[in-house]
Amino acid sequence: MTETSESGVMGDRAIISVRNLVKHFPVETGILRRQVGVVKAVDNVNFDLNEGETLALVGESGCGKTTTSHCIIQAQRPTSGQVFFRLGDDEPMDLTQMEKGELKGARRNIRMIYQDPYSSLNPRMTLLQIIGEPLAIHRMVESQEELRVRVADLLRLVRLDPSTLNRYPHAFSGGQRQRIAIARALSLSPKVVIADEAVSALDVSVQAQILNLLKELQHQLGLTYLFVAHNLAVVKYEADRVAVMYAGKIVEIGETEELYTSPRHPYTEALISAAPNPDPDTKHRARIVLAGEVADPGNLPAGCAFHPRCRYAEDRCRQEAPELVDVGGSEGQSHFSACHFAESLELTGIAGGLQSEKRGNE
Amino acid sequence: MTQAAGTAPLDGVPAADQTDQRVLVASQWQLIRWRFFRHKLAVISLVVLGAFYFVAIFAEFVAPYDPTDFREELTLAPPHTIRFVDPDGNFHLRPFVHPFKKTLDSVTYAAIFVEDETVMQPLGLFVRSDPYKLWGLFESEIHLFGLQDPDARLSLLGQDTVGRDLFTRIVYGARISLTIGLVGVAMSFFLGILFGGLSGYLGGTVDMVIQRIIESLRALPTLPLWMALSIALPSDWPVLRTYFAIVIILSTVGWTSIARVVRGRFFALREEDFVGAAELDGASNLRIIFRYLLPSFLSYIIARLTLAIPQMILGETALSFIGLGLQPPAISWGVLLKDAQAIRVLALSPWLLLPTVFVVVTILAFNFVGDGLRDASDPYTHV
Amino acid sequence: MSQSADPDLERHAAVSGGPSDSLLTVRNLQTHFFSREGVVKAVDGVSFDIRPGEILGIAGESGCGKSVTSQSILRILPKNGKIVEGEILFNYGDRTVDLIQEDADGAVLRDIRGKEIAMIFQEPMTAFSPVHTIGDQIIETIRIHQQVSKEEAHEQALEMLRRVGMPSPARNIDQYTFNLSGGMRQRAMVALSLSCRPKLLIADEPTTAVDVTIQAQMLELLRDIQADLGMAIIMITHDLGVIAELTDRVMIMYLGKEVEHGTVEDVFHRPQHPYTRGLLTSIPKMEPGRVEIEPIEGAVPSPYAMPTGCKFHTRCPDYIEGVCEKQDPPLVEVARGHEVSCYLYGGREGLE
Repeated sequence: MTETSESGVMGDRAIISVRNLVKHFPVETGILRRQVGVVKAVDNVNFDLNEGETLALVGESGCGKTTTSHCIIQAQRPTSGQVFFRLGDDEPMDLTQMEKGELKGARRNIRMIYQDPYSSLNPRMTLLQIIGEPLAIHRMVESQEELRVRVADLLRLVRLDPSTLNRYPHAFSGGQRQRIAIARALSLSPKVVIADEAVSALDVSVQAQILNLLKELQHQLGLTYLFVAHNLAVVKYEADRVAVMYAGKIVEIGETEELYTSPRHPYTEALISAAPNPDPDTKHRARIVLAGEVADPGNLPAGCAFHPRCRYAEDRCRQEAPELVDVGGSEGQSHFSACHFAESLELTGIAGGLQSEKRGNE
Repeated sequence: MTQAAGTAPLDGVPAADQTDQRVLVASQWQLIRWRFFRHKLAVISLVVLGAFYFVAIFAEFVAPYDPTDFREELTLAPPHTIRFVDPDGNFHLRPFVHPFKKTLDSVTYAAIFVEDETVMQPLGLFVRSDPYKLWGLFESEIHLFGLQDPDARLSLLGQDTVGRDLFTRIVYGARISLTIGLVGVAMSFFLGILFGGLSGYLGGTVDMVIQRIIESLRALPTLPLWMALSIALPSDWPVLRTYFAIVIILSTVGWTSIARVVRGRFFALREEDFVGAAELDGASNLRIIFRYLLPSFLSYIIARLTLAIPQMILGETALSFIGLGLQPPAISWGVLLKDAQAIRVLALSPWLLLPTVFVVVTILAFNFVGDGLRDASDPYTHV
Repeated sequence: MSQSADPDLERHAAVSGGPSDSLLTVRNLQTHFFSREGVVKAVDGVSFDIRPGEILGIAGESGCGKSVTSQSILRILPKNGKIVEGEILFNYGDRTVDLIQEDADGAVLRDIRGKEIAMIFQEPMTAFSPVHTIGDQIIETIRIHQQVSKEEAHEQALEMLRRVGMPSPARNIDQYTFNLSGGMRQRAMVALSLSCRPKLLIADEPTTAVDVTIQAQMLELLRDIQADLGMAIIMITHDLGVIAELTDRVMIMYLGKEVEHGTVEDVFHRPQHPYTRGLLTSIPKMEPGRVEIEPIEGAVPSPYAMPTGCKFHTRCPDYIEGVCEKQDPPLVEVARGHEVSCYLYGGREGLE
């Protein structure tokens, strides 16, 4: 990807730059742990996370979106590649080269929200202990009293009653627990929050509350989000830019509206088409139903990994893996696609045909 | 059924209380306690065990006689019948017994004990009889109960082969039999946590080596192993030393199951998001172990330990019964049962088997308590 | 086993009630769960009917009772669940039986399950035994319910595997489930459930755990196979998108109650109940431009602490004090075939 400015390794507005990120898991067998293969969970991923934006990583299970996010925060160490992080005007630092002690500082600024709010909160600790834990570890408070004040403030921030800080997680519903997880993530005033399927486990009515809360907090605190999700409608609502992943690679990345209305990769087109829409009028629309299943990252097809399922595939796709290149969006925005025929294909987004039908009905 | 939303339901906490302020701020141990107390059989068992341990601790006071004091004339005397009604049909508020008169069976010349209905010996609380030193410290002659006449002998559960009071000996035997389980389990606990923790935390080669050792140990049949080890014990060792040697022998196998549990929990907990989150918070390894991992499985381990105690008790009983464990003059339930080995005993003096009843009750009680603890040990129902 | 030969079945001659043209009629179904913690009214008075060949959706959030409703119909409730009231009338052959009155393990229900009413689940692995081939299991199911030779059953199984779009039925029939990918397992499960050509298929969240492209395949398969075989389908899901894509009519449930019921067009375009409206505005749309979403306030109450009156009044933006918390609102027909349980549309006469 070519967003890098002359000044250095990172894009101008980037707070995190991921460069040539690779995460391979060896497939071992037998007592002697003989390596018989490799799962290419993340395979040469490049992108910039710009300050103040929400970038979504979307894709189906096994596409490498969660592994990518874990490699950024170094919860899993990448096989190769760099993850640059820059605070203000400081020099970018490569997180992949840091030892545990050094990472502690960086991780103050990059925090994580998990999918399952039942597993991510220690049931044996009170809210005060859970939310106060990062503050205590990083010695950001002087006294127990100060800790109480800070935690109460954080609870207010996520719209929970601050008087509940002595309660245990079992006193809260799924949506409230996710608010607690958000409060913990925000307790160290981070710059970047990685939300790993943060709303997928919630009921729709509560999911909407959390989506709106995340947006408000972003405006209020100037946060940058990396939003890992599989639900395209949720991503469309929440993200400024979207990166679509397939079999460990980014196949398309662009501004949300642009990507949804005029996708430039056949996989994106198929994903958008497959997403069920809560509107019975679109019931009989022509849908692209992909044949087969997601490519196995342990046994990728040659050429473009998507070619066995792609209805536009030609010989070239079976032999040559496409590069992620800027195909140009509207109004001079960049729009990258990893498809040999990105320039020539006429792909359908959410605007196609459907729009006029809908208008007629209202 | 789809898991209901709203506040996470807690098993064992009554519905009406789910929104109670106390529940909202209840810690793990409180929730476990509430849940445990709903398990009636476990609570009853806990009371029984509590009573047993009380008796064991205050054995000198609870037992009416000295365990070594023998009365030859009462050899193999049966248990007394405790009466409230005298031969004339009068009711007495204070229970009494008739002393035994010994006669010989005219055919077999075996001793026959008949109650002498002309004499009434009333029972009493805090009566004087054999002097003792409680825990070797406090001298006294006062016993919890007994016959008011210091020279008469109450045969609550019968007398043994040399005329010692069986009930007294069971009470003293409880000391060894009940503590050998606790001490043995404490040993196993220590070894299990140490090796299981190392195995689970370090993983890799260490884990593999420890697991192979555990498998080898578990592959050995326990009873022959114990027998082989106890034969090696010098027979002139003092009681206390033999006792600890037996404990160590019993723990050689006991720790392996605890180690496995600890290792398994370790691996499972490391997968929980909240442990990963703590690592990303910058928490040190020690902090993660003591603040996140240990509290999460301590309750579970305790439940497992409770279930391991009966094995220790049975082990000691078995070893002593076959004569390889503790030897007289030490008193344990196993030692007492050795008296009941002869077939003659079963026919003529069945009360010598009474220590078995105590063994069975103790083991059942530990199992019930363990079950209750296990059910209560994780009060958080995961979705 | 042939049904007419079974004397046990003969006893159950027509039971009265239920519209004659409906395949399944559920009236005032109440299923409760009893535990040490208390009683949960998982399904609390639900009524609906389904005509032959129709696709009905049952939708709602977790804890609304949609899955329990389907388990009640097939009488496969967990041990602590009990149907305490209601009727489930199934048009069976040329008579109607009330499934609630039957023994859950009796001949009638055993015959109906799999043959007349089939079910597919979220997790396809649970439908199959891992130690038998797919073919063996399908053939066995066919031979339990129909008197056909092994060869005929084998033919039927092959045919069914072909219909559900298995790539090479002749090979797949001898495979075990662990040889198949997730999407293929889903298809095999559909083939198994449809092997006896049931009149009703109950699909309980069949697309929840799968990726969106596999979900699209599954929905297409259900649509095609329904057009092909003409069975009725009850689609149970929390995903309103799936409802809109597949069903003809929909029933929205909340905490064991039916809140709204009508054609998908009516319910999605003219939602009447505040809960339905809230659900629809909560979902981000796949439409161009910025479409705001509006969440429903609060959380679903604990099943042990159910609100009085209308179950939704604690979260309702249109809550009428002194009315909604008093009594359950009755179902009111706001348009032909469109019923709503809400005091905004009447039913207040019943209150004192």
